[in-house]
Amino acid sequence: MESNNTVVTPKKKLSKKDINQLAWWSLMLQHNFNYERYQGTGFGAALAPTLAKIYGDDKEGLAEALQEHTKFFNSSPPFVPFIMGVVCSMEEDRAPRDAINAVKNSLFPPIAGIGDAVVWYTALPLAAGVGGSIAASGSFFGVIVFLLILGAVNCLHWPSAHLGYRLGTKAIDLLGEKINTVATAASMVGCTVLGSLIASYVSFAFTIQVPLTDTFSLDVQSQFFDSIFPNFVPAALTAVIYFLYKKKHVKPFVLIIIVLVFCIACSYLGLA
Amino acid sequence: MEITLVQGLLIGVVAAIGAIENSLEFTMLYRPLPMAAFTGFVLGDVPTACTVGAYTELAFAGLMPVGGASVPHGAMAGIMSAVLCISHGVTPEEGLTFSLPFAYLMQYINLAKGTIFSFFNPIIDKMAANADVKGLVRIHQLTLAIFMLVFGVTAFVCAYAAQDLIGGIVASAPEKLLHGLQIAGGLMPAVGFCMMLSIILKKEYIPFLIIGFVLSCFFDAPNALPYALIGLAFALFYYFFVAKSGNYQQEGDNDGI
Repeated sequence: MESNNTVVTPKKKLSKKDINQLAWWSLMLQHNFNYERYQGTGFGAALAPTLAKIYGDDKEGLAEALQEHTKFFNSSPPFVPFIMGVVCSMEEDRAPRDAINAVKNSLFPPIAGIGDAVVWYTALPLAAGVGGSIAASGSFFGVIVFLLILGAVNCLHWPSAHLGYRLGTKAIDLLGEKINTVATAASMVGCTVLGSLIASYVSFAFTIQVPLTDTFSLDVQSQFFDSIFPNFVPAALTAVIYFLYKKKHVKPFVLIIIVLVFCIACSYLGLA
Repeated sequence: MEITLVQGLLIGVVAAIGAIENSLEFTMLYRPLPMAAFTGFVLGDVPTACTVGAYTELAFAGLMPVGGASVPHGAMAGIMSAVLCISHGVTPEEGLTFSLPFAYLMQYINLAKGTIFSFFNPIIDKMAANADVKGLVRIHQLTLAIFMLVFGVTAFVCAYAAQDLIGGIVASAPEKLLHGLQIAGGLMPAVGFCMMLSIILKKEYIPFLIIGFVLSCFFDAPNALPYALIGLAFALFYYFFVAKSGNYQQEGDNDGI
């Protein structure tokens, strides 16, 4: 082994200033929010300048990274820079693409849950309660309090990015080849969380009552579907949508139209 | 009081700034209270605007666009309730109620925007394939500008130009259609979840999906954190009991060399 010096000094291309810039770019996350990719394209675009620094002249590597990072993504904006920091340090070390994807995709659902709890369920009610009560008597100062509380929370963009980058590098140094194991473990977390999200956030209930005799009508939802399993209908519908997306390669935009048409039809037919 | 053209345009500007914040979510400027207050600035009556803004904000406390969920548009409700209270002299309660059709209108426009912006994705994909960093950034600034324009124009039209007309249209929309759109809002997250799933789901991970789903059906948790912890427990179990014993064998082989 020659040049022991290069082995000792880690090859870091990104400076503190670069990471600060990354946090600024992360503000672009939701500019192109759409139902096909959610924050996906914004994530890739926000990362793009920093990735360009990492890849330098390697245009092919940069293109491959950009194509991966503009895919579907959805998480809590103040904490997304954390994920970006981790991704940047993995990209810097040219970690295997599968590992980067697995870590990214299993980090964002739980961080979405945690981050949204901090911002929407803690900071916003606090700001609305305090600022709102001051503003209710007609004082603009209440509005200022409101904006300051939330602005303060959202300054987390910057420490997030630095923490993610430092943690990412440390994690890679510590884990080495075990990175794929960690990626697998991370996917387990992601799938568990997604399962719970499907049960919590997807809702659909039939309201139709089928008359069977003169005196008895079957309430399809409460007396049939609900007795199979709670949330059976949303789970079944999600499975159908998954099948359409994954196996039949139906485009998300078309899926949205299908959902809209299905629901409006159910409404008009009195099914739901 | 009459809203002048200049005031109407300025309200459009307030809305456009709200649209920026809709994306950034930095100071939450686009919530009812701040939007109402700034509209109050434009119309010259800040105290009334603050009062009705606080009232509307509390009413909208439960309506949060978390995880991409589609909710009645708080910013529009804030702007219009301020407009209604200041220029038409209604009470805060009435201001809130009458601003709701506009909030629904903006919600549907937002829904449409989320669908239509998907058309930018193929262009973005091409830029990514060409490693066109500048293009990626610029196209996102473009989509923001479009949204600012849409929201600004809508607010201007509602506040100044066609207030009565639009309120009437939204109020008379067929109930079955609105109900259908409402149900669709409940089913829509499934599309996003399926996309997330398709990236990380392999058949080996299906047990975890099932466990997360079943537990969530019976337990009432405030957010997804408990399930992240359960998933973490599985992951750590896997890491320490399954993977590590595999790694031990690998390290043994290296020592042999």
